[in-house]
Amino acid sequence: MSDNIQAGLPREEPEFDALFGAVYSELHAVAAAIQQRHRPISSAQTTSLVNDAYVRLVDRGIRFQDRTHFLNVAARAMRNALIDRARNALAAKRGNGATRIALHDDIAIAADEPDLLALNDALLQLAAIDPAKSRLVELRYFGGLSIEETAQVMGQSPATLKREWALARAWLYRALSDPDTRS
Amino acid sequence: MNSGRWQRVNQIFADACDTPAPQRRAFVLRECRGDDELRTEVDSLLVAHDRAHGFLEKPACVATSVRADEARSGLTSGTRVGNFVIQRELGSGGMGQVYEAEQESPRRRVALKFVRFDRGAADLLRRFRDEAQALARVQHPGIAQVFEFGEHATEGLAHPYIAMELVNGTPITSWARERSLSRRRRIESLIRACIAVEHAHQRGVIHRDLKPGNILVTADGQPKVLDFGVARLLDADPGSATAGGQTQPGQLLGTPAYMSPEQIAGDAADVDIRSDVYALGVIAFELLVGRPPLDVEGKNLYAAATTIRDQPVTLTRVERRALGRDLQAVLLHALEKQPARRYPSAGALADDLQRVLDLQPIRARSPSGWDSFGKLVARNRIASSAAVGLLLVTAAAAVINRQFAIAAAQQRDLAQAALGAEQIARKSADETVAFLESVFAAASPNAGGKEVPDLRQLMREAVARLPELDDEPLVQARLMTTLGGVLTRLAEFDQARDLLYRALNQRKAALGESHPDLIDTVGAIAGFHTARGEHASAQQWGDELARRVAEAHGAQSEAALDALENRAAAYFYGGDHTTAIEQFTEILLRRRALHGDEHLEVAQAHANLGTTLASAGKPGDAILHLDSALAIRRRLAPQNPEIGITLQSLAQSLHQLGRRAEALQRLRERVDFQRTVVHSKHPSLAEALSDLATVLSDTNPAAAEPLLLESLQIRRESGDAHPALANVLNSLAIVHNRLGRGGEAIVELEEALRIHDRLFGPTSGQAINVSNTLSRAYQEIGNYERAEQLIDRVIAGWTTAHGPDSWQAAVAHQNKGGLLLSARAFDAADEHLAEAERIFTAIKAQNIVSVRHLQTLVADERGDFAEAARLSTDALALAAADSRVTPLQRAAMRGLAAGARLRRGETEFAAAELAAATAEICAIAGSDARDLIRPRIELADALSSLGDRPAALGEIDEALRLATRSDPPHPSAADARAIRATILADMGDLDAAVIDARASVESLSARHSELSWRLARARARLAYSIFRQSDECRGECAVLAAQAAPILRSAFNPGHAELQRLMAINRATLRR
Repeated sequence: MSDNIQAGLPREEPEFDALFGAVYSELHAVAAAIQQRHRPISSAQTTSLVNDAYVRLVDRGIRFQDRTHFLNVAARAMRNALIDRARNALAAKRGNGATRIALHDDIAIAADEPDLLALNDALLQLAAIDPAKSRLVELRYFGGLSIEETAQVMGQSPATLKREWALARAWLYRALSDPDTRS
Repeated sequence: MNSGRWQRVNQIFADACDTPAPQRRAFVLRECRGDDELRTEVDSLLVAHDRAHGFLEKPACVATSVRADEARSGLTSGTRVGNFVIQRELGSGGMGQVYEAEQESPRRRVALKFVRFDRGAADLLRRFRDEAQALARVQHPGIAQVFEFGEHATEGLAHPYIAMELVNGTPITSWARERSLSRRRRIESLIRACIAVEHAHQRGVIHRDLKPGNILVTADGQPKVLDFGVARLLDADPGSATAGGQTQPGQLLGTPAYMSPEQIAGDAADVDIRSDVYALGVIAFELLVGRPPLDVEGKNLYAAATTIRDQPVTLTRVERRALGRDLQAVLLHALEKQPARRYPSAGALADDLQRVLDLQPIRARSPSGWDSFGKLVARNRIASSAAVGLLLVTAAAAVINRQFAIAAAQQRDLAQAALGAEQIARKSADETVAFLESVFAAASPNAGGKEVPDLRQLMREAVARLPELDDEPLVQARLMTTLGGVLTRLAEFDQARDLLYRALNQRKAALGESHPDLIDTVGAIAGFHTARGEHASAQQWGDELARRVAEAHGAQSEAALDALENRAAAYFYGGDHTTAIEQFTEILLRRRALHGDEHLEVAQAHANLGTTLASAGKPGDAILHLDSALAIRRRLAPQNPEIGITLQSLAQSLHQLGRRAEALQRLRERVDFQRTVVHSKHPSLAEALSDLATVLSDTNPAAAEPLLLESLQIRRESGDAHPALANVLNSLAIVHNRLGRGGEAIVELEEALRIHDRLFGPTSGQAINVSNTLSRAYQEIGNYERAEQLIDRVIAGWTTAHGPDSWQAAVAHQNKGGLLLSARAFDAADEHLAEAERIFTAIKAQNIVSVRHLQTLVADERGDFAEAARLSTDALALAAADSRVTPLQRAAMRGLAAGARLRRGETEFAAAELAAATAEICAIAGSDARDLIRPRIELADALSSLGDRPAALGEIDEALRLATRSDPPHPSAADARAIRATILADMGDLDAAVIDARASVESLSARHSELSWRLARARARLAYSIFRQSDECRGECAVLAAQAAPILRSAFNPGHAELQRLMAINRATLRR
């Protein structure tokens, strides 16, 4: 599992890595629980699940500098948890060692149904150009944070963040719709 | 793309988004003039932006779960499956899909349930078929009929399915809620469901997954149990790791809330019909109490299992009253952890429910005393945490550590606030429940799609809607009583008072003066006054409550005992411990006569008496009773929350007796207990952490800090304007103060003060208490002006609230005395200390020791060392006789007394005493304690006078290290420099000596008057250093010596080392 955790993702400071394993397994459980729920859940519920995870971690004696620190770790862990699930699902479908399936070739991908693995790849490329935007997407999309919360974590104003978000989203959308235009 | 260019893309993109759509194209063209590549980049991003509406808007885990759902749907409408034609999908789960289908012959609508068998194992299929045939034989109007079993072949695989009766209905809990059904109707439907389950049990079929979603009530009011035996069929598939079938749309797979302890433990052999009885018990509890019996929502499977297996089901006092004894008994009997202790069958449960309806005696009577359990918890919490508060108040006031007193008073206030809610007696009529439920339902996320509103908001909503009940004054009064109680707990006192008194008048008008229904409101009013700290009123209403209950239920009834307890508690809070002890002793005797020794009620009585004894300054007796309470509880109910509270009380008494290690051990046990037994976000964990931290902060503030931060986090998450939050901030401030981080402490205390000003008003006890602590914090950093402002507010507040001859007024004067001492206004300090002493003597309070300690300090600073020695001897004698003085405080006083003797010239005796005091403080509080600064300086001085210069230098360096760790440095740092100057001079390091002495004089002359002996001493030592350096004393040296001489001569005895040094200078100068 630790291989999966680090696959393709930029490493951060050592402390971050040390916390990461614990957070990852807790959030993996959260992600599994949510995906087994066959009813759309609100972001408030997601937040509360993530908060519960936080409390459980703190319960086990894991210490974060503060909530912001936790959210950073959690968003990364959630991203990994979901990507791992998607990879496993793909492997199960194709048999082990299968090659990646082709991306959507038409432009109209369903709005709330991104291919997580493709998204992850695109996000890695975005990180190469603009790491802050990649982190923003990680916090918003994988961490389930609101604009306001994300702004707090990243230390920016919500207004600035909204503009950043619009561009990050457009960039990823374009990358997923038409892989050739990635710059 | 280079970063400059990417920045440009960002800028143009952002501006373009802000540009109205029609002008956007032109805008981009203009901005990217001539740079086609840039324009293409921006354009394509803008196109993507327009299309990406909704993209990534839902968080990943939500979005992908929707996707997983869609991926799973297999059969489309119109597909033929055996005799059936698929109409639509009803739902799907990890185990398979459910479709609505039409059967051709006989023509009817059915539910088709597919079970996923990926491996197509033949023997599994055979087992599945056998089970399905057994199910088909179960026929009952209360059970959804299984029609047939079949296999649907696609892609070479056989997909087994079950066809069963399609039930159009509503889950039983939502059905009852939506119709605001009366309790009788709820019980009647429960009975019908139980009878249906019993029918299947008699045919050998266990349901194993009963939950509200599997008991649907149809339009004609008939409950239908769905999916009988399906869970078992699914379990037959070894590939399905999760227990519990998932068949109804909208249900969470494997929800553990309805699983019995033996089921969630995963031992299939232990699961029998009594597991179904347990699940029925959970559903009944939800229907009748309005919440699940155990909180497993959002917990992971392991935590849920622990909760279900170990945590007892408890009822609050309010819920207990609402249910009545019989229904409580029935519910708790169905929910027993051990199958053998439950109802043996669903039929037996149905029988007892019927008996409740018929007002017949029920059969469920457990010997474990659970029926009074919720009440015990509630009562115990009140008494114990309040007592803790009082204990701390008295212990703290005994000595000079005023911050401690404030933390304690805060705790007492909180305990009283808790009392308000829990003491309130009330019944809830079905109409009341329905009304409240409608308020909650309107605010629930499902109805409005918004966030869950907070309790305050709900209360506002409920109060605003009260006029809807104008036509039914009695229902309205009941509701106002309920709301008044909750508002009391939320510290919304004005509104609470208004509602409660209106409720009382309305009930009196409709029912007469002496109707038993008035009891609820009277109890709530008593609770209200207790919460506000209006003790006289609380006692008066407590008496009235006891009288009314005795009239209504008889003087020997349990209810009368409860009321007596409430009354005793009111005396307790009012500070009349003697009466409270008498009353609690009587209650203990009566409880023992009623139940024998080994009973939770008796444990409770022990706990109440113990905590009261502790507050009355009898910790030894208190410990006996608290130990009894703890032992009984650990034997009878090892997981009960009250154990945490008893541990807490016990710790406080042990602490009072100076048995610190044992006290800390108990407090740690309590934190562990709260972490494992109670939910980790629960306020009681925050409280346990704070309490442990409070005791730790005495000696190890650095260890206390993280505990308080965790506690603060819990409190912050549960809302920002709660008294408990202010309390934690307060404790944290104390710790930061002790760590020499006065700046942080002030920020925390100012926030706490704002919270109290807002919640309780600026003249409230809470706000005054914080003002007191804050005054001390400003005193610490030398802002005497703000400190005095605040302490004057405290004197005024406490004098008004408690009277000029009250213990509190005395403490306030004592504190002002301490402040004026720091500000070096000795006459004024003496006045306030004398006033404090006068009051303490008048009211026979044992607090003179702290006054005496401060008086010693004043005399010492004045230079009246004979008086200081006399006072310190008296203070030490008082301290020896007072068990509330902690060892640390005693050691500090010993050091101070030795200092006075040192200045009297008793150098050797003083040196021995100071060495002993220093060692004691080190042992108790560690080598970094600020309390070490003064004794080490004095010790260094004594050693240097005795000629042991290396040892003296070691001591003084250590003292200086501690004194300069804080910002601002400890005031004694200047003294320390003066002492070190002489030591260095005597050791021959003359340049360093002059530097130290000069720094000392500069610092002291900025703060001290010309009459200060400390300043005079520093000047004399600077003169001495200069003299040793130049071997003569002229100019500056002579001026300094002349300034110092008269003051030192009047303070020190002839022949004292200080004077000898001066004389040596004079002699040498004269000789020349």
